[in-house]
Amino acid sequence: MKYWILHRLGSSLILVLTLMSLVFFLVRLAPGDPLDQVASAEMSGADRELVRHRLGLDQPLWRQYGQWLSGVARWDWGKSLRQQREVADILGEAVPATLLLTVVAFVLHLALGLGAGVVMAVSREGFWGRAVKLTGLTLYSLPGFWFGLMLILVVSRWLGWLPAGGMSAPDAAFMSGPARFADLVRHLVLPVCVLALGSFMSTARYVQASLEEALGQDYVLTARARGLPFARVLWGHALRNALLPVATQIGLYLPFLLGGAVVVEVVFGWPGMGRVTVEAIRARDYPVIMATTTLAASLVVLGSLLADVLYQALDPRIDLRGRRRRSP
Amino acid sequence: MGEVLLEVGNLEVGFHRTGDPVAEPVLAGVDLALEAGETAVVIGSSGAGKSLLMRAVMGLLPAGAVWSGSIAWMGRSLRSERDWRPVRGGGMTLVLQEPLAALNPVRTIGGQLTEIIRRHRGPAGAEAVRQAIGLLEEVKLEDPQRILRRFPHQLSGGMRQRALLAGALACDPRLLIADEITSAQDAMNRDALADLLLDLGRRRAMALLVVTHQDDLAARIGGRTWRLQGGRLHDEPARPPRPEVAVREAPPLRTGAPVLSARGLAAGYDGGADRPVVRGVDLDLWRGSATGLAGKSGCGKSTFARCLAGHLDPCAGTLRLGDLDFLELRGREFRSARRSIQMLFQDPGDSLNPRQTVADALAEAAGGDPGKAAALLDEVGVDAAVAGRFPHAMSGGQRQRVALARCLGADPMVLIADEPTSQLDRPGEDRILDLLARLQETRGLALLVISHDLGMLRRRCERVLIMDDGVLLEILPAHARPLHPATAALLSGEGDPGDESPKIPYGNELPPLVEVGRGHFVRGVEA
Amino acid sequence: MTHRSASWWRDSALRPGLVISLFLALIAATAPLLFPGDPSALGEEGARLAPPSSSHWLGTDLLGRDVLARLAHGSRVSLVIGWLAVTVSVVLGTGVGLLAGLGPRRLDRALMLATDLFLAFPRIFLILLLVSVLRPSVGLIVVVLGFSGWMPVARLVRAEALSLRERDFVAAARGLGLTGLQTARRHVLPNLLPTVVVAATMRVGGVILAESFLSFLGLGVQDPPVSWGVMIQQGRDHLLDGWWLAAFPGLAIALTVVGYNLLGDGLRTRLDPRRGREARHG
Repeated sequence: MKYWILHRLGSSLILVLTLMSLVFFLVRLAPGDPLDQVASAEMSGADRELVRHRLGLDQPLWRQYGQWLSGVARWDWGKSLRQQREVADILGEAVPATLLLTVVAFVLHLALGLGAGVVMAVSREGFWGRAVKLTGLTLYSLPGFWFGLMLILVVSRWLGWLPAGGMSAPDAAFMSGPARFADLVRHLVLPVCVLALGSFMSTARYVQASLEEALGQDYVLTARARGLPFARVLWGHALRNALLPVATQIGLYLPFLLGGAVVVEVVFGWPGMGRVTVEAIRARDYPVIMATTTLAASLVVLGSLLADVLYQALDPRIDLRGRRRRSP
Repeated sequence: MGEVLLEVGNLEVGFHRTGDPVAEPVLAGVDLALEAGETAVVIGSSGAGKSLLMRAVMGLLPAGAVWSGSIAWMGRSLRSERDWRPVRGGGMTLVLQEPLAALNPVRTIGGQLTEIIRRHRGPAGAEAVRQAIGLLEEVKLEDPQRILRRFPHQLSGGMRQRALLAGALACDPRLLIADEITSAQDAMNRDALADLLLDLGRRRAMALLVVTHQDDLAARIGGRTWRLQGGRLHDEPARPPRPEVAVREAPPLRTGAPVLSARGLAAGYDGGADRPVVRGVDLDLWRGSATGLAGKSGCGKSTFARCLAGHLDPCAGTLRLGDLDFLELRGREFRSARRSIQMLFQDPGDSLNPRQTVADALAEAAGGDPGKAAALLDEVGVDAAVAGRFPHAMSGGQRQRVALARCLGADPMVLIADEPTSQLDRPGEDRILDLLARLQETRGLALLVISHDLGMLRRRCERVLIMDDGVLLEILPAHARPLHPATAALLSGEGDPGDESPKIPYGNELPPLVEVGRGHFVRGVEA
Repeated sequence: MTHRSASWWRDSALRPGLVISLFLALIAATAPLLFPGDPSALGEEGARLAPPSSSHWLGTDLLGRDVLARLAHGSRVSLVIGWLAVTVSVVLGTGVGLLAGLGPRRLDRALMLATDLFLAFPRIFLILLLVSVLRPSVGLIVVVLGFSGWMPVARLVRAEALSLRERDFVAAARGLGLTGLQTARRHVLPNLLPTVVVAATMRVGGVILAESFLSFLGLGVQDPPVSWGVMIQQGRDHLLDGWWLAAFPGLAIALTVVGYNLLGDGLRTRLDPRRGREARHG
């Protein structure tokens, strides 16, 4: 087991390193002089060379690559070209904001997905199954940014119930602890709803398929043939097996939620990684773009590592080397 | 006469495809009655609808299935889920064929047993565990305490089947329905399980309904016997006698140059050269002769066949096709040489491209000549009208003939038929085998027929090679008496000698094949 | 046969999916006839930011242009970009998947590593990264969107090809002396077709969403070709005094995506041979 985790950890690390190289060379090999993004056209040749030297852009490419890698290893992502700040400082604010948003949304996503999946599996052709499926599919198909705008329009502008954006009220700094928390929650509600409502159908479908398969298995037939009531068979036998693959997929939802977070953050002005990325792209702020994309991809790799470990831990049929045991 | 437990009248079951109003009936008018404590057997070949019948009786038909007729339990008619719920378990219960699938994989045996005990007998906790142990002892499992803590995948096949049976007994049913419960077991386990079932039925005064495709098992269980055929139950008076092996005259021993000749062939998968699936096989095939290759499933027959047909590179040995060194051929030469060795696969549903018409498949086989299709179809006795069809629009027997016609399109010298009849019914099997025999004559084919059915091979071939664990153990002229214990086991049982067959460790020199009679070789015995 | 075609029509996902996607295709095809004139030309003076009415069903925008006309013209942009990008994904993904599934093992490993690599980026981050590097024109947007989606197709096709190559009919074809290329073309590819068609249909919705988001950010198709995402972006500043500006384009996107998701879902149930077999055995 220990060996297997080490092995898996090693290959994830290699994947992350390859990822970083890909990002670096993609950005650096792009057409155009990277200097054009900081230096104005009127700058004299000597000044340009000075700036080039200060940014380390006069060094050979492989050297820049090495410096970037070793910097990242020390959590030094370089300096933003547009904001006069360290990229690490920008990340220090953006990453917690994004994590807060995605983790809360993920909990809601799972709860909705599980409930909807069970309803769809049990009442496939029935009224509730169809109703849940139609609702979920519609929400799944809404453009997130538009859904967010409409919620802002209705809930914030027309009804005035919740703030329209941002992470806190302007006077939050002067609030007491509990009031500040309540303020944060009020700001969280709409973004979380957009993120969770727009995505839970993916989990719901997975739960449905998994549960339907489990319900068709011989052990479910056997349990029913022994006179166990359907609800007991559903919860005690079918769902328990059906959730196994779902649980192992948890790590794999990360890319989905991170992607959704970009959309939500832009619409609600949530100061997270997504908004930072979009602003950096508008400003051609490459150190920031490289940092956020690398980080997002690394989180995804971490997620799939987590999925594998969970799979190991949850299924008694998996042997220690991570292979599914063949039934004899 | 005891009271009638189960009574089924004019039961019809069919499938109702979503959005498709036509139901295809699988069972058409089944009548059945069982008394308390009675033992009965339903025999039927696979696909006859046995499982569907049992599930209908239990009220557990799969989604999409519809039924009509009457099912009654102790005089009360069962129509809806509400009628069935109190009957299931304490009334009748079902034990399924595949214990690994029928046991919940993520719960321990103990957890699964105590759940049922609590439901049907009441007690929980330590008392339930004590009763669970009693149940495991009742099904003759040793060391029940240990088994309670095990997950299903940690038990052997036989233990699982018994644990599953214990679960059924925990309901204290009045009728136990056993659906093919022995077919995943080897011969020894099968008899022991049958005896155990009979014993349990007697001691618990429990009615037994045993469903099987195995005539031997039906005979062992005894009692009232029905055969399920054409969607109906027919009374089966007595067990039909096993067909005698027709011993033929000793055929002339083949001499001269063989068409295909293998020496010391070894093969395995995925670089398993140190653990080959097949080792040290010598084989000669002559023009116009039929050779059989027999062995239980998993013994390496198919691997060997794939090796001969060029689908798998052997890791040692030589293979000669006429004057050619088959293993040394590359590229175009190899592709044209391999056409001489054609293979007829086991599953006709899989051996034809689902998106290719019969005519296209045959034209492709004949090297792009569309004119040959009609002649090829005629040769295998298929109506030329099917030429425009896709495989899904043909019957299993037709598909197998078309697959054979495709082999013939390549004008082969050698035809390897890998379990060519295992997916067909008895008459279909005979027709295909007759056809193969005729082609062997008319085309002078060297035929290699692979099967687990040694009796059939002895009737159909001049000599039979017996393979076990990837090694040839005996070369048996069809008329000769088998000598090797593995051969005897293959002939008596359903092809599984269990663990008694000798295993030859890897890396050891194989003991030689010794000639004990004319053309009769046995490995590892003194002459 | 009549039963079969009838059941196609009764399918609960396929029918609405077909109706919606055909309806949208019809609108896109006939937009210049239904709403003649340049959808970007200035409207009448007095009709700026007019709410929905009998003369302008979905209202007008800041410049007095009819929202419905602009929506109809915008459907051409969304559908064409959606399908072209999906074609890029599917062609690339099928190629990679086939090479990995049928080629030598070392190639398989390398290609799957590359697939995993690109799959690690959340899709929108990959798109944004490529957009920031390439600064694409309309043509390149299609390539970027398509490139960001080839990986799942490649995985799917590889898995299918791996299982197809173990099938007896493929072995039989090799046994008849066909080359690897001939076998792939005649026996593997035709059997992959349903998988690929379903995958393509299922991907259209996602691409349209991504395209509209890019346009919304101002990084995608710019104004003259009317895009639904751009319309929402313009409506964002007038949520209170012109809610219809943002509301209707969003509904149009949602309708398109729902339509294609239903169509893909229905096709999968119909065409997936495994599901078909299951249905038969019940």
